[in-house]
Amino acid sequence: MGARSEASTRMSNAFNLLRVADEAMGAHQTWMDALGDNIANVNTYQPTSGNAFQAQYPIFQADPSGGVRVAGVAQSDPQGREVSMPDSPLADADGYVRAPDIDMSSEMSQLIMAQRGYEASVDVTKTAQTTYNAALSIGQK
Amino acid sequence: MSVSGIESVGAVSGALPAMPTMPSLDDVGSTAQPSAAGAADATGATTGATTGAQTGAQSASGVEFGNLLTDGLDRLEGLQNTSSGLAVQAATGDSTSIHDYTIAAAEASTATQLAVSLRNTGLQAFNQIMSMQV
Repeated sequence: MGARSEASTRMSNAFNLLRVADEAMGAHQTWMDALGDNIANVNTYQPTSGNAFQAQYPIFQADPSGGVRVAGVAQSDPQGREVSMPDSPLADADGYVRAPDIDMSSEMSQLIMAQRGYEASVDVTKTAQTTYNAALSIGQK
Repeated sequence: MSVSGIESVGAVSGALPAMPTMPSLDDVGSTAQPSAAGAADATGATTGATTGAQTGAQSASGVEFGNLLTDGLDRLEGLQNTSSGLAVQAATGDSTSIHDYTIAAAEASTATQLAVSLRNTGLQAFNQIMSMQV
């Protein structure tokens, strides 16, 4: 009966749906913040002697009591890509600088996913409110 | 609310089985749309109104409808305080996320409506008994 007891802990609060949607919105906002930071730094170069800018990707994890939380943040390769930019003041003797390892099309796709996820959670809250209001109308004249 | 929706509605319907229509009470429930700022007023009004019904219910029978309401109101006050705190954070620019406040406000609003609805039901039952022919 493990599944059953788990289900009962998930429904401990009358407004659980709102809380779950709140967590989902928080997670997607974290994702969007990270993506915005990644995109902002897509043209940030570093000298080859140091690390490249590391893109950040939040890792989501299911909350045992329902909902989702950000378990940690994964970072992209600090090596990045070495690109030839002889004119850059950061260039080494061979004319190379270190560019971040960020795929712009992937970032934009993820941005859409994060936005849609956030909007879906907003819809969940609307549904929750409509449902609770329907329950409140029981017995009213 | 610790009233936790289902239990309280069950308790109400158990204690007050059938409810024919009565001359209409002042219908606070339909007009209550508490904002974060007006939340405290709503609580005060509800608490005051329920006190009479509470003592009546307790002295009449073992059903502790009043205690149920009191617990629910305590929990409701907590929700409204959370909502108010987040509203202040949003206004002062300390808020980290918009949805934290809007969700808390929605939750407090729905909980207040539930409390008012319970109060109306209790008061309705009390009035019905008072107007009973003997």
